[in-house]
Amino acid sequence: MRNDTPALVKRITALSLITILLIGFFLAFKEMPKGSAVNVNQRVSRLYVMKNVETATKMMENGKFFAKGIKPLRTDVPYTPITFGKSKNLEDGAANVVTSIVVDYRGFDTLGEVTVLFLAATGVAMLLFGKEKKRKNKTEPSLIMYVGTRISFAIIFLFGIYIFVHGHLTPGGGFPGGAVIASGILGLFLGKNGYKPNHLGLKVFESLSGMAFVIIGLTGLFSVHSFLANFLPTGVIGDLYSAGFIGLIYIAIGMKVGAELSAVVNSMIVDVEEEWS
Amino acid sequence: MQALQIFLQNWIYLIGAMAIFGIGLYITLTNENIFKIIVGLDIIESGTNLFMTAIAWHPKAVMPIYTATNQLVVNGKVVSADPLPQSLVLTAIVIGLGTTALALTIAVKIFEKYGTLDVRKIKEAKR
Amino acid sequence: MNIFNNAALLIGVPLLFAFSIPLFGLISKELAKWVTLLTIGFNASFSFYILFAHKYPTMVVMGNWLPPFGENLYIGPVAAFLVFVISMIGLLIAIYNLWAIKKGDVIRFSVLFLMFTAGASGIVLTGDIFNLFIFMEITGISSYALAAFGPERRALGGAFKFLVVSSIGSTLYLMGVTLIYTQLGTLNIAEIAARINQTTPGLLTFAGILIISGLAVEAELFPFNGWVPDTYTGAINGVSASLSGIAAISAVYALFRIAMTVFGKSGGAYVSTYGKIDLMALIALLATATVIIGELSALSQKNVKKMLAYSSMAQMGLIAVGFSIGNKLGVYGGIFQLVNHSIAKSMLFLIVGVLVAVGVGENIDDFKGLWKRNPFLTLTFSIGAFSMLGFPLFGGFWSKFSIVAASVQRGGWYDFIIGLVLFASVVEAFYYLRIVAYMFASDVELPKVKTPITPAIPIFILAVSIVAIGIFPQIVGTFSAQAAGELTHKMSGYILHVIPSIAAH
Repeated sequence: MRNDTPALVKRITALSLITILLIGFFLAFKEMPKGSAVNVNQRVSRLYVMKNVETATKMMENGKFFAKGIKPLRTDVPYTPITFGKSKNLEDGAANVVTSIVVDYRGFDTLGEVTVLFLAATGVAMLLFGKEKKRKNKTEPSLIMYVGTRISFAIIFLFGIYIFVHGHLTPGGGFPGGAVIASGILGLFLGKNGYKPNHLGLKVFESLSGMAFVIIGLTGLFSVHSFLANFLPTGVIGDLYSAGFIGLIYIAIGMKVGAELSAVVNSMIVDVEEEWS
Repeated sequence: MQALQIFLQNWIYLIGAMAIFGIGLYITLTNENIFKIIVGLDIIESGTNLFMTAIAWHPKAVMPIYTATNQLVVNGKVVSADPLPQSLVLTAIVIGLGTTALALTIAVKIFEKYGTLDVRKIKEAKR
Repeated sequence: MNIFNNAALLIGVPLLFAFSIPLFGLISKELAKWVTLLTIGFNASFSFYILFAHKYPTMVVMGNWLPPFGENLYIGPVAAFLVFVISMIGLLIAIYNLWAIKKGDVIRFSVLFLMFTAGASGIVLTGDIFNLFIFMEITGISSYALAAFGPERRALGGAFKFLVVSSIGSTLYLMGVTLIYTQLGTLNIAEIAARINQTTPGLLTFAGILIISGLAVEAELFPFNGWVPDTYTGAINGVSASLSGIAAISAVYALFRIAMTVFGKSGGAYVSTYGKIDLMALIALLATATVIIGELSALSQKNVKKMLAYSSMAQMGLIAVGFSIGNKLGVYGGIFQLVNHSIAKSMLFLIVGVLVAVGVGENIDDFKGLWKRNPFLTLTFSIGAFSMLGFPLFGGFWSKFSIVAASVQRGGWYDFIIGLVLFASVVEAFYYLRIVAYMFASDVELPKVKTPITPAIPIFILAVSIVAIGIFPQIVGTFSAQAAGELTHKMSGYILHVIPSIAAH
């Protein structure tokens, strides 16, 4: 919208636009299965929950998966019962189905997602690039703050690691775990004026953990002939050492996200001077 | 009572999501302050995320995690909430975070260079 | 089904090197730029290999889960050709960047530029509708940051505008995808395309409008193109060149992959879509409005960069008009024009970049008497301008000709549209020829300027390719004819290659 438009005209235009959109959404929602009509059995997620994608793939190759008029027969895929703590060598060993989708069935999305975060951190650092400037009169935090953040940092760090190591068993995973770690580092910034993390270490860590993700993917390409394919045994569902490469990838993601968010915090807190011209 | 329950089960999350979406869009379209525009973008983002989780949920849903007591599949039918939109939301949240970080950075730079966050004043300032 | 999983390297290798460039940057700034150059070079040579030596259509399966259950990349005639074009233009702009990017954070700029190119190829390659969103965001976030890069403060305003419009657009896209998912329960493009008639028409239409408006932001269609002039003018020239040369290709591809393959009806001479309104007609209307508005606004600009930005908008409209005709000839013209546009427009931006750097300036008055000051840049600029106008013996002639021929073939209300487009072309001819006349005819005496060698290489290659395409149109023509075949026949061109066991409807 042009900047010299009167505020009233702007508001009325915005309101009418939003009203049109909302009416459209309402009409679409009326036709959409919602609430009690949601049927997971007709969606592709049924196969993910049952960990039965391989059977479905075989049915598809035999021409049995799509009926005439291409109604998918997802409800017909035979069901092999899964018992927690007993079922072995499933096609995907993660107890948390969301994790198995995020890392295994749709792992390529997650690689892209990590890249988006990396690019955002890179962009933030690039735009705020320059020499460090001296800080202006900020109050020095008290001793309690200083000691408290240092002690709690260790606990927060450990908790973050716990979250991403158990990503395939409990809610959580690499992204929340990394965010928890970054919040610990934010605490360090708050605890001491002029706190500086090891920039070189942060940079190397960031690069190496990102490369680890891609290298795990490439290992899949060269050993199982498919990018980001699982090349490790999946074990017993519910064990800590199960679910194949999900644990490895989540460790890489956790470290990556932790380093990335710390880098964002770092470049936003530390004042810089322009280095252009 | 029945009708109210059906309304709550089917519509409440969708209406909430759309209300949040509309509020965010209104803020973004009408405000002149860059910081408020960024807040509006974040509210839009939340509305979308709520909408996506709402289509995954149904009244009898259990969490999509296998535990010793949680049955995801009963008689060959999946009874859990739909895990796919949930994983998509996870992705969308991270992407929203990245966009917000970048937007805030640009806002900081704009304030540094122009001394204001008002869109109109920035437009008036020459280059 | 023909599977070629090693083509995942087209995405994997740029990602690996993007993550490792900060490490290379510890050694030297120049090394970071060279790593970017070589990685894009790898992509270019690999896509060259696929295009000429490997059998396609072929498919890449991610994580060993076959579509429609997992994610896949689909390399059909369209994708193979467009990835090649994207990587080649990316390579040439990377050569230009070796010379142009000296100050500021060079290392991180290289990372962002590399992922910008890789993300654009990802958009073209992917076979999953949510994965398309991810790649849109990869391209988007890197382009916001790239657009804000630079010593001038006007870059920031443009980048912020771009960010706001584009994130609202991608939210709308995501909502459309989610609406379709509720009824079909899948995210694979091929399965959605095959089963699209199982959705209810109201939801389908609304989801279609949401998705199209989300994609139209990057495809620069009216009314979602308010960001274009500010962003293109503000950004440094290498970035403007890559926005118009690389992002444009992927955006147009995504728009018409969704409109023609996913929503389109199979069979029939002209592609039309399911739902209550015909999305192709909607796009045609938006595109015509874009052409008219873009050309008329370009006419009054005093700044060459801003003029090129408006002209770029208008060209995207013309491309969209070509695609939206919906028969083979129209799509052929659209793809041909897309390639011509990205070659010529990125070359023009690079030339403006060189001219600004050597001290000539970016206003129209600064171009007066350029022929006597620097013949090389004047000639290449004129070649680009003539290709934009569609002069015979330049690349743009063949594509504009086939777009006009296709719309005359279709007739009906397309006669009206093509009349408006031709009127806009006259306007376009006026302002491009005005600059060319300024450059040659003015007798202002000013000191000569030298052309730096490094940026002259990509400019020279682009100029030669414009003339080569003009004289031998079959260089691009054969590939764009194949591509048009894929886009206009959704069953045999796309779906059956991805999911062979799916029944025809």
